[in-house]
Amino acid sequence: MKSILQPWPWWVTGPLIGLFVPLMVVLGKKLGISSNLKHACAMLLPTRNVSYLQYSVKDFVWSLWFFAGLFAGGLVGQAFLSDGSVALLPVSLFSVRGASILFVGGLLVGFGTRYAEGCTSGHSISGLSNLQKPALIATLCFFAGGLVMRGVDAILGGVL
Amino acid sequence: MNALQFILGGLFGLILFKGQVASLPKIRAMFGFREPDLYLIIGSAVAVGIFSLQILKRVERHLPLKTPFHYPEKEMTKGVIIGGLCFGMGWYITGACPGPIAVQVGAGDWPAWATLAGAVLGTYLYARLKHRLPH
Repeated sequence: MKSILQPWPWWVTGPLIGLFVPLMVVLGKKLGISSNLKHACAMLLPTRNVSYLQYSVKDFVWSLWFFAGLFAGGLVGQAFLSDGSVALLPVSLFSVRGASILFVGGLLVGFGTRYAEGCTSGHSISGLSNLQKPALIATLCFFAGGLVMRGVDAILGGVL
Repeated sequence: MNALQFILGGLFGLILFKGQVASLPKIRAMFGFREPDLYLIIGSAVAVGIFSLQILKRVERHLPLKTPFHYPEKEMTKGVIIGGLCFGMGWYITGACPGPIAVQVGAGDWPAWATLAGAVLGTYLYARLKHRLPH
């Protein structure tokens, strides 16, 4: 029981994540999480004159259910399967200033993943599993972007 | 299918939580090359993914399928590079890619709502600017 409550080692979580790729293919779907940001926009925000958001969201309700499950997974993990040793966001970000920084970072995540047509799940896990070259280039760019921001953070004296 | 997808999403979220894939300090440690954990998680996930899709492609021929399996295909655009760089910067700042944002919100870290709001608005920004961006 103790080992379930502690963080799980990479050799448990990595392969489990990988198994979702064939699982989704067998179910006739594909693993990809950032497309739900698009579905959320198509449902919640004005779509007039925005052709990118003019499509039938009904066809992707299954995907939104998967996305809803992620929230539940976080809730269950935190409430029932944690010894408190998994820290998600650092205490320093629990402030208006912290939330503002996260908001700007979120803008980059939403804009970037949709422009790149995939995130870590769609490109780095799903795409690479099917040996897609664009997925490899995307993954390298994800890391390059992170390293650039790490450099910016260092120059600014660690404000992020 | 919807109930099944909700359960699968729940399991996926739980795995991200327990693997600390939704932990900002772990993401920063990855970009700082201080810990191998996240590289090992992504690497082993892809290894399992490649191996299992290869098996699936070989087994598929012997199955009485009405429609063949559809494997994830990705198209090369300029957005893969420019958008990929933008996402990487956001990933460093927020410590979360889109899945972990939902996990952080679900786990009760309220500032993650700001990340989520930003991500939805960032997506909307892309939707409105799409026709002016290089692809």
